[in-house]
Amino acid sequence: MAARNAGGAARPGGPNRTCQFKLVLLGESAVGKSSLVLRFVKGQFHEYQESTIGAAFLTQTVCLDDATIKFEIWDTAGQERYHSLAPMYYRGAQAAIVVYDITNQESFQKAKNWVKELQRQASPNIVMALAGNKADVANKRTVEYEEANAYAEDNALLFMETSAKTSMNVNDIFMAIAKKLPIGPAQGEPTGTVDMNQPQQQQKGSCCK
Amino acid sequence: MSTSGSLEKEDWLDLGDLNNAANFTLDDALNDTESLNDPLLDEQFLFDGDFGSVSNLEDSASTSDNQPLVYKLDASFVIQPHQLISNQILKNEKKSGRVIAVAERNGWIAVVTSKGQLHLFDLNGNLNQFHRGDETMGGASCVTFSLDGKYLAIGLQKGAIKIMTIDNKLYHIINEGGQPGQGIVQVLYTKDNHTVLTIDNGGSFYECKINRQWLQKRKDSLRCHVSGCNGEIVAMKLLPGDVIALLSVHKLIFYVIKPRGGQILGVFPTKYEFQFPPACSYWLGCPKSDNNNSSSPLNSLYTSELRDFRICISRGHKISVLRLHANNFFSKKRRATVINQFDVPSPLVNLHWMSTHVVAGIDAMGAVWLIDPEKKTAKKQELEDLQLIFSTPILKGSATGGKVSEAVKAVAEYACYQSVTSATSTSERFIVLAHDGLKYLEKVHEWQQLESYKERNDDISAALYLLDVCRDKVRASEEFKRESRNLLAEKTSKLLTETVSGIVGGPLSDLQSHYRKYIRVILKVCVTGGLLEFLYTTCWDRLSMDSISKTVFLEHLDEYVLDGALIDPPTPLVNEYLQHLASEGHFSQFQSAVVRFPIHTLDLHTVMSICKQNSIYDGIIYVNNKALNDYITPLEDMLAEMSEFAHRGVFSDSEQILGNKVLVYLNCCLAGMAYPFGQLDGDNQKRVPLETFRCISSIRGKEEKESEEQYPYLKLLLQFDPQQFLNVVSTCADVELFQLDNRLQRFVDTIGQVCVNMKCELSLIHYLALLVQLSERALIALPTEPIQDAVITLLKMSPWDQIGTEDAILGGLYHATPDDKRRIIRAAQNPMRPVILSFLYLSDRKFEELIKCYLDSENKEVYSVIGGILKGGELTVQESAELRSYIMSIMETLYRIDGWLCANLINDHFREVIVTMAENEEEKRKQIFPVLAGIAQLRKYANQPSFCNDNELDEKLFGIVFEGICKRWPSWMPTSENPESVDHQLISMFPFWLPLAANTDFCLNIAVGNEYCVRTVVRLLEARHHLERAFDLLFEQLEKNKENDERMGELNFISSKVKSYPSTAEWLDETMKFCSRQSTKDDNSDRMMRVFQFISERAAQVGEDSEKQEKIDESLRVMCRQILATGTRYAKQLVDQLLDSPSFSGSSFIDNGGLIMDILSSCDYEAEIYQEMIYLIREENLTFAQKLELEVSRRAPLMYNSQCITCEQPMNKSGYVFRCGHFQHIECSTSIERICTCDGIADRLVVPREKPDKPNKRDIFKNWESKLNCRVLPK
Repeated sequence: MAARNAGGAARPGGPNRTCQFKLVLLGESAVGKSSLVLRFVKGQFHEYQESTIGAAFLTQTVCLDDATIKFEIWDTAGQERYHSLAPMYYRGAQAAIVVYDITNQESFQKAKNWVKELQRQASPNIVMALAGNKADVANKRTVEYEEANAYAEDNALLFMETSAKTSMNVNDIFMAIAKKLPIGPAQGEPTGTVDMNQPQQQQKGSCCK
Repeated sequence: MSTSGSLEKEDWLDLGDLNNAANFTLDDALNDTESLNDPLLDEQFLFDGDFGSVSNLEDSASTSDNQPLVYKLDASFVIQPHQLISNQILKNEKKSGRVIAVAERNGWIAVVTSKGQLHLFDLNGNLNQFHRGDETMGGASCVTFSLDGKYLAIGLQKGAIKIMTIDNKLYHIINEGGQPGQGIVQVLYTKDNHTVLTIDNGGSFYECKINRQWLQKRKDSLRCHVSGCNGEIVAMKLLPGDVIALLSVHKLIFYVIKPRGGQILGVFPTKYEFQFPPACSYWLGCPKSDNNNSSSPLNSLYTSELRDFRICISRGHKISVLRLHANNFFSKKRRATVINQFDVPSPLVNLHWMSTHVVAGIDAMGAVWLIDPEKKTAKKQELEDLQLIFSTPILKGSATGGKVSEAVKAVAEYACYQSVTSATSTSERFIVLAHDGLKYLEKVHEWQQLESYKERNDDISAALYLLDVCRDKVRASEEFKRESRNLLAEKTSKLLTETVSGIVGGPLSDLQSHYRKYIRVILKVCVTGGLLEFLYTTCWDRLSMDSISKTVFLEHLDEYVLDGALIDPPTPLVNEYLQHLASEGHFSQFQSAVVRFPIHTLDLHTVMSICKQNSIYDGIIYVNNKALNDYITPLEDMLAEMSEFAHRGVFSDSEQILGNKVLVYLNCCLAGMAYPFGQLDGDNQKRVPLETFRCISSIRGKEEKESEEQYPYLKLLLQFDPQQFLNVVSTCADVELFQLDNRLQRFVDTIGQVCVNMKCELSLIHYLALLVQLSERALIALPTEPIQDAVITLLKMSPWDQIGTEDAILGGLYHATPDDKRRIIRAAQNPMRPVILSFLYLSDRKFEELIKCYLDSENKEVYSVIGGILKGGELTVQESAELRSYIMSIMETLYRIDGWLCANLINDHFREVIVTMAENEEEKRKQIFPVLAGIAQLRKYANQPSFCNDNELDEKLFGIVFEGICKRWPSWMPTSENPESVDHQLISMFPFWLPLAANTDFCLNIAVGNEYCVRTVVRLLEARHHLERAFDLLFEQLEKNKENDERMGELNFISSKVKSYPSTAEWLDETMKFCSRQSTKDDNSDRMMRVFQFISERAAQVGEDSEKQEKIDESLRVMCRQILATGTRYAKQLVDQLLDSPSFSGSSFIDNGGLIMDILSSCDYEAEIYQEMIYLIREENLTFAQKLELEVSRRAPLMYNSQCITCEQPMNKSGYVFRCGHFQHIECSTSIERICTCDGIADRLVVPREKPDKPNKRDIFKNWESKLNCRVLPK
């Protein structure tokens, strides 16, 4: 598992490699994490999205020029009672999207807490993005773009304001993350033969297979 | 004769040089056919297994879904004919004779023929030497090389041995290699290369030392170890350590040849299936070498390290494997151990041990068997049958006139020792001589097996084979095992490629079958072969691309998921699998699967949604427990769901499942265990039990509404299944949680409070049981008050629905009875709980109070209670006296409650009361009548015809009973509307009580007073000897009833039914019975005739109804016979009367012939009886008459002396003359017995007079019961 999460062995046979990354969505309850994922994975939007229990798992593949990125997305529940679950999902994740609701200042504060927690607890190489969701209701905005952007810049976060409803920036933010993820041959990349005797061995650095 | 030495066995078997040598000879050992207990070996054999178990390897190949994945192994051996040699020997068969035997050494193959010729080939099949035999010496029978390969020895059928060199063609002949006149059947070189051992067909075993200078024609020394007359050696084999295995007809002997004889190391019996020759082969492992599979048989003979020295012995269907302990050969320690013994399906005739675990066997039909001496398996190989050349004619002695031993003859049919020889270089090959030429039989190597699969493009079998090699399920060399992992990975990868390449075309079902065929194998190989990573990544990625292959893959995952074989599976796979199960509706599998995956791989949202939608509580519990570390929420949720149905008495299956799950979960949580199995971690182990306890014992429950009742969860659990819930409490009672802060006590008290408030009988019962249990385990204090509360609540409930309530209360009270029992007693009195009261009062020995309780409620149990106290109460004298006094005082009440039970009580314990029961007042008599009636009945049962052994009092008491019945006083006795029932009741008492009833006229007078007691009156009159009055009364009844009785025709003499008015038939029946009873009386015939006349008259009056007429006739005939049975006094009148009867007079002889014959025969019989009686009297008296006559005519006895024996005076006064011949005056006699004073010393001249004969007393009733055998018909 660790090998896979850390990026399994690269599959030989050309420049178009398939890479698998674990991505986790964090944020306060009802900011639109599930809607964002649903829009990205299935292209759908439900006006009344049911509250997530624990965490939901989805996968989506995006193609870059030289690689295919397969996201293993963990959409975590924002309710406080599930907070304790989060470490289980962001542990070993290569990417994280911290989502807040631009109409809810409190959710932005909470997002900042998540960023702090990720910086403290998650992998040091984790690619983090900050998504200000519900951009379609910008008239009710309470979190200014500039404020959030500044915060993102300060913390080296990718930042986009998104709208799951209108699909604004949804794919873009994922694509931006994909592009920022380390795609390339790992140290000691296997050369075509698979050593089945050591299936569980840890291979560092590689995200592709 | 060119032998040297004598045949005297003591010259050869020098056993005295070793202290521990056997004290018996080889001949002795061979001759000992009855007792095969060799003290050196057999006694110490340890049998690891029994004969009779045969197992074969699974060899059917199938890839069907329902069958296990199996593959087919090819034969473990291969037969390779040596074409060149075969062609040569077959081609020249006519010239050189039929090939008989073969031997191989150092690249040379020697074949001998029936014409005594030798062909020596090199391994390429080139004929190197040809030696023409001398036909006068007979054909060859066997051939062998010396161990150094320089010499050849050929045994000949006429007894000679030919020794040859293979380089310079010199040869030497020993004319008689065995017993004179016997053919040689086997020759063997020993390690010195100059000694030849021979066996002849007489069963003899010889040792022949070849002189090294044998070309100088010196004599060779030949000595006999076993002569044919004493032993029956049929074959031999040279074993490592200079041991020779001698195979006799009964046993295998391990023998060592010594300079001056030999020594037996041990004997192993082979005493079964004599028609098959015994065979043996050895294996000498090389512990230092890893690869010991191809050790050289030749080298093993020279090795001195005999560690893994095993020998396999076969005889027919039996195989034995022995381990020889070479170090102990010359010591007293155990020299061999039986490792295995087992059966093979086919009788074997030859054996060859090829490698550590492989023995090749050849059966009588030539089939080759793969035998695993460790696993005790035998598998027939799919090879052509080897048509071995048997040495039957040689063993049967066809060249020497058939003079062979019986033993050799017995095994001759299947003996083929000479046609099988091991290769020098490797044990994995041996050479056989068959009718169709010379062949090699070689073991197939694992690589060859794999190559074979490859040639057949059978990757599935190859993968499964490699998997078995990896898992040590199939024996393989270490080298192959090392390679097998990589080979397996390659093969699996190839299988995956084949899988995803699909099929070229065809229906969808073919594609599904294709996927199933391969995916099953891939899954098995990957999961069990340690290729999980390959499975999770490459396999899953590629198979999940196609929806069909993905579905097939997920379908076949079930068994591995349930086995927990999928270690750390990837999240996409887990969630696809679970969603697949949910979409297919396999929720049971879903429930089982979800708890087997690591929590971090689960899509909690989906899993919880599916679990909630489908009530999969295990999943909910698992997610809550593992992900959220929440143990209470699922419990509360389940309890909330339970509250919907727990109040109902009957539950659906799903409700029952939920309830049971709650109880199991509760048990786990309270005990600090993980659900459904395992242990909680350290922190949770303390936290979870406490939280669970607080949850279920909370006063308000989850919602905490003020209006709701208290302890909702406890109430709910008690409502659902109090027994199981309290069992959970009991099971968890000793966990740490309950031991702290007196929690258990408080919890139990709370449960008790809830139970009492619920007023649920079942809950209270089990609560009492719980209290007793916990108290006995010293987990709670003596629960007096809770028990009291529960008991009182139960006692107040009425009626009880549960059968165990009373027992539960008694159990509780027995365990802890409160000091002040008044509350309980009060509760037990209303409603009355006799058993509980009995327990309470008896434990305090308050007998009177207990009886009073019963009396107050007029409970009939009072009698049994009194009886019980008196019988088992272990009363003291004072207690007994007081109790009896008290009971006497309440006796009148006891009379009243139940007469029958009271009678029993009085009869058992208060007999003295009976005398006081003879009351005069009618009211009192009425009161005691039921009791007395009961006592009368009991006495009747006990056959005691008295109430108190006082006749007068008995009459009086019975009078009360009689009067009561007659006057129908109320009692326990059954009553009826039929007025005659009283008569029947009285009659039913009479057989026993009649004497008492008939003592006075009291009963008769009372009976007469009741018009319906005619029968009773008749019986009483009869008993009081008023027979005429009795008969008249009966006849009166006949007359009275004849007018209104239309049922005369139905003369059924035995009427059992009680009718309101008895018919004439019934009275006639009574009358006839009366007559029968009085048949001995003289005047009875008169009565009978009266009855007969009555009947015949009635018959005449009845109309012409033929059916009725027939019945009357029949009754008349019966009457006739009865009258005649009393004598022939009325025979004439009877006949007259009959003749008057129209039906008789007008009938044919056939109809009434029998009756006429009866009349005549009865007359005849009477006459005959008289006659016989006269004869008898005459006969009996004849003897007496004769004796009397003799006595009369007898002389008077001689008197010895006419003087008195006492006073010696003459016979001038009256005196006695004694039989002894003496006389004595009467006045002189002092003996009262009138015996002579001579003391019986009689004069021999006097003839004593005999005593007068008195007829012996005879018991005339002795044969009373036996039949007289009188003739009743005329002669």
